[in-house]
Amino acid sequence: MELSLPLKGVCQGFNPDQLPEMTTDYMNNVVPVDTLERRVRLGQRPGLDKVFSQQVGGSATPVVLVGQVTVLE
Amino acid sequence: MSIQQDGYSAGGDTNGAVYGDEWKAQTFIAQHTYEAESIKVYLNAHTGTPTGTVTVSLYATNPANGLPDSVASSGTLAIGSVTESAWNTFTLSSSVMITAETIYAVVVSLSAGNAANCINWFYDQSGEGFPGQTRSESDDGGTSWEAKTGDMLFQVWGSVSYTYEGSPRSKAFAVGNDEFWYESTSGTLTELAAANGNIDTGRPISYAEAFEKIYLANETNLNVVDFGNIKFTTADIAPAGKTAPSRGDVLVGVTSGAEMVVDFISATDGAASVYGKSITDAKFSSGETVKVGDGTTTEFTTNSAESDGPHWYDWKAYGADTTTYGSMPASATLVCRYRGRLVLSGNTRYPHQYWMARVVNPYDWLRAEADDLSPVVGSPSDVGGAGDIIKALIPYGDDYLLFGCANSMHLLSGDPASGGRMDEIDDSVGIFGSKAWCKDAQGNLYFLGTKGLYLMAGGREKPVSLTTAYLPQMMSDWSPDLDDDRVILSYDPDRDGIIISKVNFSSGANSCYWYSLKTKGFYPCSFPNVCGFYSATFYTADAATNRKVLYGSSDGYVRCFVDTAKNDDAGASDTAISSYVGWVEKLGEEDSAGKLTSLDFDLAGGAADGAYSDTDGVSYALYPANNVETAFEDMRDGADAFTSGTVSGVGRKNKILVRAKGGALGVKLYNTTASETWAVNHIYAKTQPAGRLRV
Repeated sequence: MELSLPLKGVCQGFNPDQLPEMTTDYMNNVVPVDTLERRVRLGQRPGLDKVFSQQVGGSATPVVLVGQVTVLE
Repeated sequence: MSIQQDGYSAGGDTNGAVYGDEWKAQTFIAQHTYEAESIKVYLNAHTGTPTGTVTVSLYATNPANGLPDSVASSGTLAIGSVTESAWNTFTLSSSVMITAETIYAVVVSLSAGNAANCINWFYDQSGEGFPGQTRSESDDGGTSWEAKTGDMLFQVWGSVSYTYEGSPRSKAFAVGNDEFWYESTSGTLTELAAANGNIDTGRPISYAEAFEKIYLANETNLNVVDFGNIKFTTADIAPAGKTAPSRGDVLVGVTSGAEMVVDFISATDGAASVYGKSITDAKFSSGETVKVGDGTTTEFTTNSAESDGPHWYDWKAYGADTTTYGSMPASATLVCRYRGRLVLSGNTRYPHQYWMARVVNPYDWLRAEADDLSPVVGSPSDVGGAGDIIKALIPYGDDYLLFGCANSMHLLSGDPASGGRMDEIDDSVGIFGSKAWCKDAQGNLYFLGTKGLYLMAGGREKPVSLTTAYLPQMMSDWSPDLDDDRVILSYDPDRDGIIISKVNFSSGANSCYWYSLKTKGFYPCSFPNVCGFYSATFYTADAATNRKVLYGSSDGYVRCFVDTAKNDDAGASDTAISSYVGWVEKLGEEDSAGKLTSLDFDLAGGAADGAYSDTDGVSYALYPANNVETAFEDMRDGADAFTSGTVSGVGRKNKILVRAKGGALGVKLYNTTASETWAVNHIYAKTQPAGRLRV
């Protein structure tokens, strides 16, 4: 038989043996579209990388606002 | 893409010998503007056995005689690489910007040789040789030239650039530690020094983009970051007998001839800064008289030359003239743009109120009767009562504006000064905070409300809970606190899903869900504390590769998700992603037991190193138990697994033989190894009945 991977994510509030199909209440950092080929299959989430090498504020304080502006150059 | 832009390619019938100091050239008038990258010349059969290096150069010409003057760039080929009786390509060492209607020259030379051993540049001796397209010769190594009849065979290849003066460019910005940083060049953030200390990042802050500016609402710090205007200053904007310029006036520099359309002035009398759109190439200089028209009404002297943005200044009524232009609210934490108006709210003294500036004028706040463009003050209540506390402003273009309130949702359709209408969408569901919402690609609104995540179809239908069925304890489990936690929602169009993130202000500890719009499922995620999400925006960068959701993190860095990243960049080092998923399969029905005898894994990647990306290894652990709940509990408690291992490689793997017996089987897949990721296609199991279940 093929095991029923929980592709539909978490579900709480159900008796464990009555969980909706393809759900679980025990997972973390797993997503339904993989990072290898962007297919619908269970896999580890993508990692985070810095976009800019500069540290805003020059210290380890939160970036409380990010946004964008469009200008003519 | 490089294509032929200029050239003369037909009618070749005569050799033009090139060797030593004997150079040949062909001028041409550029047909359009492009970037020249290579030149082709038709070189006929050699005379004798020439040696040396062939150089083909692009020259600017002498305006006086149209003959070669100065070299712009060159390409070379060793004589052994030249193909006789053929077009030969010479790649320029650096591309050259060619301007339409300008005369240039192609020059060919050979570093050695003589009349008996030379190369031959083919030409059409009956070529018209009209001005701008002339064959010429030099016998002193290019020092002087003599025009001749006929035209050499040549082609200039290059790319046309479609950027033009005034191309719109996207720039990202970030705010942290009381500082404002912006993307000065692509991929680089630079601090705007003037803002330092004039922002309080310990207080709520939001922004709206309009008119090439960023309008910031940070309680009493209402500021503008102006990228579009130039600025100069004056010691007295309204000398005796004169008045300050009005918004929209054209200021002209008497000496420079520079002109600008006035957008904002900081004062109407005395020392002032003047901001406006430059409409000439000429620039205002310091000490210059500037005036409107003939200067009868407005004329003053600058005391600085003009400067380009970004400029930082206080957002206030035009010229700080509250008599003529009204008063802005003293404090605001919410701002948006709606129907050409800047809208403010989030004033703790007037929490039920919003203020709207005049249409297309963020500096006019004085309400006027019988004026459809007038500034407006109002409250999201359809009976003019006390209203609800406004916690979020959510504009939908020029169509409608949603007010997310503490316990209700209201929708303003149209313009409040001209037939607009306020409706209550829901009187029982409110929004958690100013950033706890996002829209998907279809314009549906998602927000964190009283009982979890809600969806408002099109942003105007009644809210529907998405979490009641699947995450009924979400809000009690999370218990977000406005004083301690930041909650943000962010739609990722690239991955078609929503990040719902809660982060603790002081520690960065975070809990997140990924809501997939593909599967409509929720997937818990967690990140290193330093990566906790305090802010997010989808950046529509100019380069397609940079169009992604930017997350402002706990540690001052801006991050994004990257498919090829197998760890989280946690600042000084990378942190492995700890991923796991566990579920339970029934082995037997009712009081029967079952026995798992083997497992087959089919991992992502096809064949190793093939066209499809390969997974790394994934670990597994098995937890047989009498019942489903016990199997789940064993997994969650971290009990010793019945058996475990790691499956490596791609595709269908060797069968794993197991003898696990029980009423249910917990299966856990996980990875804690740095620099690894995984994806699974299928898992197959062989089971057989195992008699009665023993308890």
